[in-house]
Amino acid sequence: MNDDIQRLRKLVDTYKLSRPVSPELQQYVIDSRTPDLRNILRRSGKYGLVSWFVIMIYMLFKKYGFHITMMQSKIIAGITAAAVASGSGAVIYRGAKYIIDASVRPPAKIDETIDRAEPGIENHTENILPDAPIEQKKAQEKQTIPVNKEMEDPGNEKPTESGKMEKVKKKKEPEHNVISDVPSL
Amino acid sequence: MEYYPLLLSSLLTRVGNPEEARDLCQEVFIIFLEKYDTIKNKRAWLYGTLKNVVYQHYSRKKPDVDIDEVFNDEGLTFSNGSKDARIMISEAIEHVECSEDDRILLELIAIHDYSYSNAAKILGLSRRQVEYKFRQLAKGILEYLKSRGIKDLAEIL
Repeated sequence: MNDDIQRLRKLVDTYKLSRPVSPELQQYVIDSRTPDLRNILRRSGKYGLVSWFVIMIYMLFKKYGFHITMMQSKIIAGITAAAVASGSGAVIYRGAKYIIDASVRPPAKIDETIDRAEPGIENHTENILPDAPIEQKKAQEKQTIPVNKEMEDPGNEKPTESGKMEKVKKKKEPEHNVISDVPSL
Repeated sequence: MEYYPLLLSSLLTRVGNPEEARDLCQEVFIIFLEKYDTIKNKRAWLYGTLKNVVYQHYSRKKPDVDIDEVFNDEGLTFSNGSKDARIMISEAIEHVECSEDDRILLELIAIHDYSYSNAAKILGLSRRQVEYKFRQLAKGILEYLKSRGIKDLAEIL
């Protein structure tokens, strides 16, 4: 087999069919392929993402041993682009639909109904909103009954002179003194 | 695209200046891209256009150079005195049954003396693949010559 190569080389040399290129120039040719291709495409007005994409597909197929024409490469590029576009379009549509649905949907409302009252607790239905406003909570707190005020109720005791003075003092004092620390019902 | 190294190598051996060779090669390929859809035999068209571009280049820049000398391969055969044998070998190389990529490989290695590894880089193959393919091609060419009546290569060597 190697003899065949040697004989062919000898024939080519004898009949001066060869036009040898030096190793440096061989490397020069290899290195200049990509920049020259870019230059050719630019000068012929075909330089763009699509043409690069077509060339990439062509080279990729060639690398893996599938010989395809430029036309076939263009068709593959078109099909790939269409598939990517439709896929990404579908994803964008689904995403947008999900966001719109999430923004339009009313806030969740939990209805809690107690059917059988525990002994000592009246039957009642409460509507608990998850996002109950803070003002509402504050209003509930204000409705608390000051327990120590009831405790201070004099009842049947007869008011004395010193006791009257104390009452006047207490009236002058700020209101917070009468609010109990005991949690409200 | 695979013809580009082949044409540039051919120009390098004819023009001499690498930068000028690159410019001329780009010129050929720009015309090639413009007429791509109408060209049937791409290889023949490229070599024909290359010849025209080189003629134009010499007539523009170096009018004193004898242009015919640049492409006059035939002239060498007369000095060897074996024109027929030379034409037959050229024919064998041209007509050996192989794919277009294999023909490029054959020209790169046999005509332009490319190393296996450099040819492999250009064609996107491994060095082993290139070596194997070149062996097969050499065998095919020698068989073609045998079929044309050259039983012993020593006759023409």
